[in-house]
Amino acid sequence: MFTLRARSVALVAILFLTLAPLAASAESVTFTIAVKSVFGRSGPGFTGTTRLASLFTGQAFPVTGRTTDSSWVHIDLGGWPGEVWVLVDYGTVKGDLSAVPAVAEAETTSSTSASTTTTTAPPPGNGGLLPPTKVKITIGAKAIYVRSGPSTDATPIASAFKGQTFFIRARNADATWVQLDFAGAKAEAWVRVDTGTITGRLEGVPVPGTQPAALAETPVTTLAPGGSDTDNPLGFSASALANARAIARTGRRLGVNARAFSRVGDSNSESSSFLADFDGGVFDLGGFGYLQSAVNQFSGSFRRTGAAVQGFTSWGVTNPVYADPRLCRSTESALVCELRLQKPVVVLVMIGTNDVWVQGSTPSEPYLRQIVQNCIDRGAVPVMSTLAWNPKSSYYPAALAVNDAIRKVAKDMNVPLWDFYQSAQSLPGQGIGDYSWDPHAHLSSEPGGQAYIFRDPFLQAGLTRHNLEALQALYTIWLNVIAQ
Amino acid sequence: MTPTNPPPTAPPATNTPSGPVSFVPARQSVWEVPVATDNMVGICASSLSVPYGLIAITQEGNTLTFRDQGVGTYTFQQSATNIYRYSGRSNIAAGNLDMTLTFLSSESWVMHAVTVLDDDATCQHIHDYTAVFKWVR
Repeated sequence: MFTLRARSVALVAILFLTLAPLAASAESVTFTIAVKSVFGRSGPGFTGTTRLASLFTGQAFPVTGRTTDSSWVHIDLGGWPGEVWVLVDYGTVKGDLSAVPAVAEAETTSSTSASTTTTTAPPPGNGGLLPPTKVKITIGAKAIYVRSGPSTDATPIASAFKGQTFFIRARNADATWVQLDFAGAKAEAWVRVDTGTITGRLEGVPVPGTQPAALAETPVTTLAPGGSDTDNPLGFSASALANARAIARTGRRLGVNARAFSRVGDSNSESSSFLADFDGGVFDLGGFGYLQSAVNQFSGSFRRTGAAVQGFTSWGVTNPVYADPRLCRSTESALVCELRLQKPVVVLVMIGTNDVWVQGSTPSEPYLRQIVQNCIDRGAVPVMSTLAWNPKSSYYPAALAVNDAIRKVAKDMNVPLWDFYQSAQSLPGQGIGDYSWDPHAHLSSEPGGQAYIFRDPFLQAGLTRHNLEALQALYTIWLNVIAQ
Repeated sequence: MTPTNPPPTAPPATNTPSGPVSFVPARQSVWEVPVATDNMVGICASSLSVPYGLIAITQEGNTLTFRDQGVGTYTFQQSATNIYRYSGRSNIAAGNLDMTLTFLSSESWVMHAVTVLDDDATCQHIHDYTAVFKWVR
């Protein structure tokens, strides 16, 4: 940890001495960093490339090249030796990116085994609108007009706001405007490309009124470990996501904070190795760069443990006796208190370890239901997580029973299930550390104790995998629920 | 699990007319206990874990109601100032449990618990841990 921090600090210091944000010229295409910090890399991809420089929010650089799919840009760091590339998702492009020479192919992270989908002409009906593609735009400007056509002279029909993500139906010929799948609208809804960030291959998006594009649209979704779709890497059911959108609509009426999440849990959730470093600490998303959007969206919640994490059982977290009276009202449970204080849009429910010890006397299911209902009533989407457990533990059968209760409640109440137990099966020791003080349920750590590097061998540790999947859960809710 | 320092206003200790000072809070109090290691003595089939996290304690006369993170409670009897004992069945496993809880101050107490499970009678599961004060209600 120290070595990594020291290296990072040194790198940052060097960069401050050598790099100055470059002013964008009117003629050139520029790229402005939108995330807190990101590494410039030696090539257009996360694998097989090295990190050359740290780039910081607000810095703008001339774009001197792009990948053929425009997913990466080659930027000029003003004398920096060698090539420096950055993923387009980490910032905003000003100017016509398609006019910049394509000088490289992007990293082949797309699903090459999946069949390709040729773009098609508009289907009959549906007002002549093309169906949505898998290409998306996330609005980067604070607020913009959505217009009836691809021109600033076209009539404004709606507003779109920073952070909103829309699937794209079509583009204009020079790829400077895109037509949105906008809230089910039957009329055309257009925004300028440079008002947001494109995810996917814009070249493959059809142009209305033309013949089917010669360029086959390769599905843009990349594969996460295990072969899951990056739009939904943990495989939440479509039904649960639809219900989550309904919960979130209630939440909007109740004033939940779309940028806040809470956690409900025990010592595995309380650990400083869990999520905290995504708020200003050192982390490396490795091949999971798409998760940066979740880091950005929920900034400020990662370091906050909250009122509902403290060695609780499902019963304890719903009982007012254990709510901190310095924060909570006398009639509030720790969970209800946390929901009032944080007003989260999503709640990671990672409870049950302590339930296992008391399985003989305290059933989990009714209290798990109460947890979910408390969240739903307040417009917060609960994501239910199962527990990793040491199969050699004498408590293994009890742990499996608690996991069954978690799965049952998630299914019955139609909320997203994050089956961490299942994914931990592939880890050494099923993700559980061989600790003398507890060999049963506490997650394993990589020997260096680093839980925020999403690369092997670190990802073989329970703590690291837990962080990755928690971030994937947040990302999934952001993409499929909040941004909708 | 991070121990939390007690707030400036510690729970009130009740004074007895003569003899040592009682550290038992007059109101319901909540304490935090860490994960406790199972020290097994004898011939043992498997280990036993006890709930960690928050525990609520309520004093009433010479008894102390002890409520951990399970639904059930234990009723302790006072055996001396600041010392309470429970002897009876365990709430979390089929077996007998003897517990001795000793207040060291208004901010901490120690537990010595011995469990003998019915189906593992040659084994004593001994848990010793220290609780730290969190708050009164």
